[in-house]
Amino acid sequence: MPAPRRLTPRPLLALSAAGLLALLSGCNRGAAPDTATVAAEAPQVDDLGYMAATPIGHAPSGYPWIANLKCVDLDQDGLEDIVFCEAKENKVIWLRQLPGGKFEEHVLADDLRAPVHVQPVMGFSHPGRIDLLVASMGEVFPNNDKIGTIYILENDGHEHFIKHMIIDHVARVTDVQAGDFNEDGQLDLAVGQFGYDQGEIRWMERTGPWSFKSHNLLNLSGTINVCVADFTGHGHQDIAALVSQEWEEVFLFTNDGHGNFTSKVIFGSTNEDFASSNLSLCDLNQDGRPDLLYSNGDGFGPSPVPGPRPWHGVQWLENLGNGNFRFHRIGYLAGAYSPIAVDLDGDGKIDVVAVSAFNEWEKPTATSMVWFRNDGNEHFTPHVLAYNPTHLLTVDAGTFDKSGLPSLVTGAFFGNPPYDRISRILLWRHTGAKPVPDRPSPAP
Amino acid sequence: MKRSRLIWILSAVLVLAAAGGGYAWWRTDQLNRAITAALPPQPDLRGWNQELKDRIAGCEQRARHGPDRLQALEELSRLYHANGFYPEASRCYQALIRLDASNPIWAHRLATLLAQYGDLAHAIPLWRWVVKNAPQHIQAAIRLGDALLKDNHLTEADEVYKRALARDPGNPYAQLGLARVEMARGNWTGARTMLESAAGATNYAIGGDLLVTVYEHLGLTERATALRAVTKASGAFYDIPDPWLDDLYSDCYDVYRLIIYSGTADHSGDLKTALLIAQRAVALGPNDGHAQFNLGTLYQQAGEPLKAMAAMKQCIAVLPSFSDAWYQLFALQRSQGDSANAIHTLMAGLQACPDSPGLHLELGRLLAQAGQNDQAIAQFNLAAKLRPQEPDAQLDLAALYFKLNEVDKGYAELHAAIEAEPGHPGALTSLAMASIKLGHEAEAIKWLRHIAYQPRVRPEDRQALDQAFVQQFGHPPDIGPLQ
Repeated sequence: MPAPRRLTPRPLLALSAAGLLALLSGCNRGAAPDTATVAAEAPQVDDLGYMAATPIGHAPSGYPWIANLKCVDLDQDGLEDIVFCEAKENKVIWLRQLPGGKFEEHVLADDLRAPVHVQPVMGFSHPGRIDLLVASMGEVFPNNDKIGTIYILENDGHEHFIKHMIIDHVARVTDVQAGDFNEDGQLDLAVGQFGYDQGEIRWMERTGPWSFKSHNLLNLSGTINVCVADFTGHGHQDIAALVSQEWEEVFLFTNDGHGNFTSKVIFGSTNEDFASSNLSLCDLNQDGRPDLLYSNGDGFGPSPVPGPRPWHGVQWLENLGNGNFRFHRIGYLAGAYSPIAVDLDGDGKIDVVAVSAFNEWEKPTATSMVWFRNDGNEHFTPHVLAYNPTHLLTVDAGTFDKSGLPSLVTGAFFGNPPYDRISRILLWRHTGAKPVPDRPSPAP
Repeated sequence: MKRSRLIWILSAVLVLAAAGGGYAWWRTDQLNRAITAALPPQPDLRGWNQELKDRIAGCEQRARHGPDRLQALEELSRLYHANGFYPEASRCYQALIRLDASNPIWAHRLATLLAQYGDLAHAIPLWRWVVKNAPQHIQAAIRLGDALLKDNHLTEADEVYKRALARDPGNPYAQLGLARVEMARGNWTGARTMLESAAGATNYAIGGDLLVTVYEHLGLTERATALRAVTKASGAFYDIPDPWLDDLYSDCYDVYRLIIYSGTADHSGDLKTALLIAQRAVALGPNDGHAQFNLGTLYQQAGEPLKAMAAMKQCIAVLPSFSDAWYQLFALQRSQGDSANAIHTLMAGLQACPDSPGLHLELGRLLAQAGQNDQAIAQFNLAAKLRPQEPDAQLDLAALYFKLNEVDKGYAELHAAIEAEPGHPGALTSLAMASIKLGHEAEAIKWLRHIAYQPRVRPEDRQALDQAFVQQFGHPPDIGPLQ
């Protein structure tokens, strides 16, 4: 049977058209998914007149290493005090506020090895007394030896503190927090151990006044902070932990109420230079669920001097309930450390303040403290509170005057030069100035 | 018939060509419009290198009006990415993903940028697409696996790592990822297999740290201790090299960023590339002291001391307060046998940086060698005061005091060294031996207990201490249970 003659051009035509279309469309292998872009950071405004700093405590001698500080009314006299760790001098120090806004300095313990975190806890030893949990690294700069120690400074009721060494010869300890994890009515401990090449997270079940049994939660190096709260809303104390080094992850350990924990990652970056620096509790949107503030700005890494990266800054891990969190970028801050939630301007919206420890301090534009002002919808405008002094590693907020507004207290850690704008402990009070208006954010 | 058929075919071809031409014109117009629309607003380039500004302006011009609009957008994306303008770079990539859809590099670069900020939710779909369309690019698979692991998708991460390993047998990053999956599942033996392979192939840089933990978990304490004994702090891990990203440095004009790129290459063992980048940094910023210092240290590693010294001198010239550069120049000159210039450098460095503990320590050492002990002690004390958190000056002081037969002062300095570094092997063994010889059993037990936790104390030193203890006290030391 002869082939129909008119059929010949049609396949030719079809093939030609198909070939032409294929050429024109570039042999598409299926489109990549539509996705987001890196958002432009909100423009910062200088608000240098909003708060003014006053040195409190002793004047700096040498280059201070204030690793951590907390505002707390330690003697419960109605006046806010400050406790802090001087890691180079191996001390935990109390800056006691006296009437009239004066401060006097008391060394609470002076033979702790590189204390880097102090946590006041009500009633750990006796009801109504504030004791202090202290994490000691042994050595601040890289060391993988088992030289970490946990101390509890027991308040004798008159603000004299008895030192109890709870555990030693463990991977370097960076944070200790209290919580009743097995719900036996006694406070236990959640412990972050940075180590260096090997590290750990554990909880320590209280078995006696000063004795504990350790339960391992995670075997990774680099834990900086642990936070204790009922994150899942199930009525039990859970633990969140920030793990840095090459892992760069935030873990949630969900407690069943008997000290049995289930772990999951609630944030992770594949950027091994993400430079996690601190994790703290907050409730930024005031929905009653504990959220997390998260800074990245540890500027060490592959450069001769520590310094900034574009991704440094402050993040908010919004608690959505049931152990689920949503990641939000709050803003850029080179060398960011120590994010705290505080309604700094008293407008009823929770703001965020963070400091910078490792920045390009040779440049006058390097910021040392930034207030991320909340517009009420959890959009933040960075207000620079200070370019000077430099190397601020830790900040906390407290009530230090009658203005009704919170003050800030900063501590400086001089681990690398330049050493030309030195401070130790500074109290930052409101000047009475109004905040500089926010600048409009860039179009998305 | 033949003629009419030919006419018919020619007509058809003409119609087709016209349609094709029209379509091509329409497509080109669409493409051009899309490229123009995709151009991000130019960031603030004040203070930037003029060549970069010119190139960005040129790219924008070409992208709007040139014959190579797509290539111009590609170049613009590189310039923005390489110089840290990530929002702008990511906008370019977003457009390139649509306009140059057959090239997976754009999706990979965008995913990398997003993940750098922690936005895995948007990075993961992009990497899934890259892995599907460019399975040969193992780096994308590793990134996808890591991102999935961090997003609690263990099963998918496991599959991704396994496929990567099948394509690139022995890939240490895939093995590390699989080990983490196995650890999360409680399969420590499976993790061990993966980590031993990864660590073995990378001189323990990849997976070596976790392998210690796995050994300890499996009760293989001797193996774990042996690895712990190697170094005080390793930190050897380096990120996976990625040819789709690593060459961006050649379009970077930011000296600080180039120093970081260079440091990253050096840390991953690629000294040649590190040097190339460092040279570019110095060419762009000859008056940047840190760039000169970085180049100098790399030349030093490369065994080129003359070039290293030249770079250090440049660093000192522009950044005289940077004591590390003085120290390195001093050390280089000394290593070349040029003692006169080394001493001159040291003294000049101390004038420029009077608070440098390292320079005071070196001066103390020189003075001690010359028998000027009092001056040496003064320098060591100054170094220790300036840097109390490191034990070097105290250890030198202790050695000098012992040499001068001032034993008590020597031990006091050893105690100070232990304060600075609680696990210092030399200080621990010296203190233990001293306590044994002085008959202080409780003190000796205390130091031996510290030593039991210190894998960096050599076995022969432990043995010698145990023997000395038995000889002195008549029984072996009982240091009690360890944690």
